[in-house]
Amino acid sequence: MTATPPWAPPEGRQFGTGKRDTVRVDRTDGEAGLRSVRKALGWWFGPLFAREHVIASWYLAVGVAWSLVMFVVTAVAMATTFGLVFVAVGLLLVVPTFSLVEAMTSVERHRAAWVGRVVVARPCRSRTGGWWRAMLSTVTDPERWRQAGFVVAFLIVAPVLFAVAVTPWVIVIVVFARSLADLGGVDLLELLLAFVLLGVAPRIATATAGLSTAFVAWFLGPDPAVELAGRVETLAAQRAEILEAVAAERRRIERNLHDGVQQQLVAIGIDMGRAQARLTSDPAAAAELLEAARETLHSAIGEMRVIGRGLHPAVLDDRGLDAALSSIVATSPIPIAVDVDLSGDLPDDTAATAWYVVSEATANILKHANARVASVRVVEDSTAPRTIRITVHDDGCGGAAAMRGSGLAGIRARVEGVDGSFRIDSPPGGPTTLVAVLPVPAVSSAAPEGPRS
Amino acid sequence: MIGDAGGIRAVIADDSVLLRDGVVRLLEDAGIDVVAAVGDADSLLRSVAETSPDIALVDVRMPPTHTDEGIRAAVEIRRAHPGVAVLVLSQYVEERYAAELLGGETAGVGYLLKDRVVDTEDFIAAVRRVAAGGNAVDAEVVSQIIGRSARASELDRLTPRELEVLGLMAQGLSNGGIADRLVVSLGAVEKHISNLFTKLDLDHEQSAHRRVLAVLTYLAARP
Repeated sequence: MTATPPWAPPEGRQFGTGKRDTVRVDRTDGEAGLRSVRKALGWWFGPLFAREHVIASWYLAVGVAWSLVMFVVTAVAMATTFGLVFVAVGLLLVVPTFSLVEAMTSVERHRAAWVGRVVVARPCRSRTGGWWRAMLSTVTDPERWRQAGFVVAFLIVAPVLFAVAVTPWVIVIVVFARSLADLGGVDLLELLLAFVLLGVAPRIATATAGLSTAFVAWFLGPDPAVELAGRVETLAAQRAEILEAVAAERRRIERNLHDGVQQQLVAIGIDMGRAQARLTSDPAAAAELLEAARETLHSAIGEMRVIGRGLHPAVLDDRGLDAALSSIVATSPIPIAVDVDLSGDLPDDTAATAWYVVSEATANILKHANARVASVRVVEDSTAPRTIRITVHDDGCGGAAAMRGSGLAGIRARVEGVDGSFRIDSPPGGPTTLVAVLPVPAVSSAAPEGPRS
Repeated sequence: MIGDAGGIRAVIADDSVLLRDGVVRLLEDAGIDVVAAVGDADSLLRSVAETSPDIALVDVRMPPTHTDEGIRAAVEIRRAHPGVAVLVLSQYVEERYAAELLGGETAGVGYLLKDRVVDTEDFIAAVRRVAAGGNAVDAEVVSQIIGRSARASELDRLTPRELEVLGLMAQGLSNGGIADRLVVSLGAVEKHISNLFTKLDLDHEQSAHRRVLAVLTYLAARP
């Protein structure tokens, strides 16, 4: 809407050449006035040069044609089906007829994407069992009758909206055509009005297309109440999963500390005690024991570092996701290729989640997959809203599943906890591909929505 | 079963090879004969049955579940081989089984936190003491089970007779057994026990648990 028309000069550039210093004072008022007029004109006629209104008009025009096709096909199919109900053949046609209606309305739903709106399907009752049960559940499903109702309603709504969208254009064209045909009797006021309308027409087209998609969404899109209830359910499940993942994580850390570091520290203590006992009687043996203690100490410190890094990778803060991911695979016994291709920085939370996904996934591969080679890719998935896609692939034995309490369940919980999506494809025998898509919250709007408030 | 200083035979069970090797060498330095060193509870029970050691040193957490295999094995050893002393080494206190282990006959039973191994001389002394039929109960263990630290001063409040009764309780004697040993009536023993519970601040505990706690206090305060 606010796109600058191509003929508007870039701001700050001045017409005329040279001697600006001397003339600027005289021109200031006039130029400022000129510039604001130019600005106003740019604002008013700007939409005319944007693509949106062309697409919107096209969307509405196709809508009229499609509404007609849908109606005719539906009417014929319904008439045939219900006309033949009493000779049993009609009963067989019920399911295909409603499926046809569903397919056609779903095309209309998907068309809303032309003007940037995504309309998700309103779920129909699932059809299971024999053809008789399928037929019964189809014919008694209010959602399917709602789709049929849409076909009828859209036959009226689509042309009306199209008419609203084209009316300003028709007026403009008629006025211009008349002025061209009859140069003598040009009504200046009429012409001026037509020019003004040139700014209005694209706005009306875009707004009308918006109305049309809103109508489609209301009719064919999910019921907001049901959607909300589902969302609440999902959130509750996710919360439980996160809590479980956190508990599992704590157990893992506790075990790592107790079974790893603590044992090593005690072993060091034993070595030192034995060294102390030999200090005077057998200094050489004591020195050897102290050396052994020092080696164990090195390993304990190393283990502490691993545990600490598992909690939060310092390199993530210092050098970014790419470096952090490289440091995960650096210690891997098998080759793991890392490819990070992002157009911009990630917020800390998203980077930490991405790091966690890769860290757990690669740990899982090393533990279970028996793979020869693996790869990690992090790329942009979509813009507006921005999402990134993490793909971790290995050629191991497959059969991985996100069972409760497993590392993969931890990944799922973490990813779904930030409203991302997670899927794993791991047939027995491999290969395994894990894909996580993470939304990237805009930095400015992230704060009020976050759980920290 | 009661070995003199030179002739103690020990079995050790710990799944951490590092720690197990360290303890084995530590015991061998002290002249204790380690007849078997194993990594899980089943092997422990088998080697105890085969070698009839004087003492078994048992880690609480062992495969497969890494929870309380060791202490369950320790309880089992006490049941099947009463002559084998048991010293449990733990990263932390497993209250339920600790109480079970220390609730019966306490001769030759020890429960120490693993950290104590670091004080090598004290640790060896504890091994010798338990192998000889004595006790080694970590004050930390007692305080975690009782919820407060066991203090010798608490025992000072007891009369000599009550102390004697408590000592017999720690040997696993029933009230009737204590009455026989001291040649007093059962009622008198019960009165002594009730008094010493009060003095040890155990009035509010359940009766069965209370007995274990009193014994624990006794064991912890007099190593």
